Amino acid sequence: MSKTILTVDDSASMRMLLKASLTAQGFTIEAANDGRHGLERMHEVKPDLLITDINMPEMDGFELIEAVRAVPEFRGLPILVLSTEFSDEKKARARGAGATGWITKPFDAAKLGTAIRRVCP
Amino acid sequence: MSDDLDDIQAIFFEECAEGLTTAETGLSAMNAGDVSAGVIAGVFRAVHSIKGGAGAFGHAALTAFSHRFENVLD
Repeated sequence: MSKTILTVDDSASMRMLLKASLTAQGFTIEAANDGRHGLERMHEVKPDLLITDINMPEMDGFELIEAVRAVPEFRGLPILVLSTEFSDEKKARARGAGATGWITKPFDAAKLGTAIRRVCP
Repeated sequence: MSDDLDDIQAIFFEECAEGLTTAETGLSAMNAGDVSAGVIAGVFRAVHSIKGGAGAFGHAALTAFSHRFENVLD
């Protein structure tokens, strides 16, 4: 059965690019446009994986990850950060918040698919 | 997926126009003396978003420029 992924990114073109790239690899994609919307969608979609950007209005990716991890049913959920940021400080902050992994934009669709299958077999 | 990609890239260019408007508004406010964290964050986010899309669509010069722009704001 197809894995459902919730992607959270404030850029419409990035959401569409992710959807096109990952749908072609057999994943079911749902989307949200910022952290707050993402947290609402988490409860509706109950995805197998969350992929989130970091720099977003309203609620950023760090806050979203912390909020998701605070929900008991999402404590074991794999969470990948997908961001143009690449500093060790921000990666450490994401890990501390509960992120499973970090992928730097621009992403390679095949490599992203491989990373997804690794954390979400 | 190339037709899809062209359509998505067209949306990215629209986002660039919106981002440039946001950045211009913020930079004008900064030039007028408002250097609050919120104004700087707004400009940063706009430039950051342009950088992300530029990288995704292979616009190397725009990626490099927006990266330098970000560093100035950081």
